[in-house]
Amino acid sequence: MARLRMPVIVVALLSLVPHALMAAQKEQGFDSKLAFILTTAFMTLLPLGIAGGVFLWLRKRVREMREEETQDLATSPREAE
Amino acid sequence: MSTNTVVLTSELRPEPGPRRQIIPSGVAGMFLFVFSESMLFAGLISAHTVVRAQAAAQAWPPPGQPRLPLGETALNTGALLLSGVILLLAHAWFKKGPSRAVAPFAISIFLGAFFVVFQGMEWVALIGEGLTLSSSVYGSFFYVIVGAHAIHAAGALAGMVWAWVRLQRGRLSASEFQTVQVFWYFVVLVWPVLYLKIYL
Repeated sequence: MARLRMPVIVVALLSLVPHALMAAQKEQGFDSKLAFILTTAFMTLLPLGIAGGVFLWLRKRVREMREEETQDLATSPREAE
Repeated sequence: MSTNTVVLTSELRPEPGPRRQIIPSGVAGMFLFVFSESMLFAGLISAHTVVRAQAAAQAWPPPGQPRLPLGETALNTGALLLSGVILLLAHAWFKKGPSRAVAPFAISIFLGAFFVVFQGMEWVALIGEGLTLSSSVYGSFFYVIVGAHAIHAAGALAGMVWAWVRLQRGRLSASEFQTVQVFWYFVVLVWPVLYLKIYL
């Protein structure tokens, strides 16, 4: 596992210099490369952020529903009496 | 013996109530749709950002191309945002009594329709000034991105009109209201981002 660590780090860092794309060609200026990196980060983080937000909201909602059900069960025998 | 035990435990166990949904199916479906459409707009915005950065600062907007109307569109943006706020109020009133939401819902639809019609008028003016889909990359991005938003706005408006008719007849459920709301909020919230990216 430790032997794989360095290659993984190198591959991850290489992805910061994506030569295969037109937007990152060496003829392009700094602004162009920055725009490319920022939009790549945006396109990566947006779906992760949305999915994460939905997951957290669903977890909160499930907890609320469980609490409501527990309260309902606790109060229903008293109402029956 | 074992049979008796089973009977006793089943008698003591409370009757399972009706299964409650965490989120109504319609709302969940609309969230999925909005999620996919968010990625569509994210892609368009990203493409615009990269192409704009590639162009020299002086060449954006390209020479000879008309400038976009900032002030008028800012006013239109205000109308769209107000529409979203009024829809929020309409939902609060809907919870108190569905009939109370009819008027604010209608105002929200009117403001949304105003936005779409105003955008259409702006397009006609810009085409007249020479900004077309094929006149430049600037024009292409403008019509594709703003046009994609306009299609979504028109679709959401159609949904809101449908919901309003049902509301008037007393048939609109809370989940249907929420489903339409999610779509309209998406249209409302994505627009300021487009305005800042495309117009400024």
